[in-house]
Amino acid sequence: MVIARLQSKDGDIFIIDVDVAKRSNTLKLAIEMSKIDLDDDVIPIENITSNVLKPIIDWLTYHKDDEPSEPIKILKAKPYYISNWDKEFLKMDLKLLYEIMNAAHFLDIKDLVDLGCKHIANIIKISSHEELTEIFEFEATPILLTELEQIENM
Amino acid sequence: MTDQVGQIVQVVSKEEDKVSQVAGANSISEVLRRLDFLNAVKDIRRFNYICKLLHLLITQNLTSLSGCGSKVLFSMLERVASQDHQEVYCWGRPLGSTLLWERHFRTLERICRVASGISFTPRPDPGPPRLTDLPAELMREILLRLTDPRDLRAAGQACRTMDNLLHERHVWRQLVRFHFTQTQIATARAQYLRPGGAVAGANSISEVLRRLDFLNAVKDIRRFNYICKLLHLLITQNLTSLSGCGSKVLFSMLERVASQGTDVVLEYPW
Repeated sequence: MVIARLQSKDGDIFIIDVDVAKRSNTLKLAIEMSKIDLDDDVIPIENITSNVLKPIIDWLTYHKDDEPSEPIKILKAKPYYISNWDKEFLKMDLKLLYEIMNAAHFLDIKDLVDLGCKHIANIIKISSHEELTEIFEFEATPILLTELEQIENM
Repeated sequence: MTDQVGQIVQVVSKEEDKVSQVAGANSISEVLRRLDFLNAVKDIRRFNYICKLLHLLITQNLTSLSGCGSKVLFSMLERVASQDHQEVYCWGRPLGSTLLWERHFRTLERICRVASGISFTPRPDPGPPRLTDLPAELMREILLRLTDPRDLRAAGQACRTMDNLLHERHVWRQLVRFHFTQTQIATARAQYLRPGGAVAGANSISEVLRRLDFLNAVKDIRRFNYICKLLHLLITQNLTSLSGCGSKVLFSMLERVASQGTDVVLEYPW
């Protein structure tokens, strides 16, 4: 097994299977294009801290045998089945989830971004807008006319 | 060659066409790749356009780009920068006087000085992250996964950032694609957006009214005002010159409009 060493912002080094790492398009690009010597070099990931990188690696490792997803057919998917393992994975503070989504976006891991978006979409689906303000800690905003209301008023 | 030309046409033509080529792509790296911007740098006709795009991306999106996105961005920058290393031949001799060239060199030196003075300072810790701190691309991904307009409205009411995103047509376009089939959309477009298509070849008013199904359209709240205006026009200007069929349709419509008061149902059309 060929391994890759990832170094987080805090300096911790994570050792993972190179095929797992390549599920991230950014890392794949880094490994294939920039002649990193996998035996000696660490791949520094300067903008992701250990507490965020750890769950991402766990997720990647668990899902390493999944078929790489098709380019997302947005909205065509049935509303949001999330597997049990992923449900356990998502039992975390929302703040950590935001950081993970941001990091997954940077690392270009489509499926993980997708999972985060689905989770948040599911929350929006079951909440009223007052509840949303509370859950996501939005600043209270005066209600603006959305496009929908404009259509209704037409 | 023909598809080169086709590509250029697509880039310069209106937003509509562009959207069709990049439909479904949400991330910047994906869009740049599909439109082949990396090679477009060499195309003199797209150069200025691309420089503007780069300027926009760097000033507004640099920190929120994905890893692949910033890779493409910097490859493009590099190509743009290396553009004037290539020797340019012109007729006979270099263009411009020595004076002009010296001025160019001074500009170049100034640019290099500025470039060497740029330093990166990490942002001070902004505290715990919130949903609104996510890049717009991700927020849009979330909105694209909502299939009920009521959810979208709740999201827009709760959060100003989301409300702004909801003003983009992209989200609504995808929502329509989700709820209606391609044929339905085509029919609706023909009827609502390009009435010209549906009425081509029709010469009499009664024929036009029939083809556009105006009689039933009276019930459609979104077209109601429009139809009242049309009726007003017809009555004031054409009443005496209408054919028998025409005036029949006109008065049926008038009757329906008049009876409208009782049974208007305010609901989402979907």
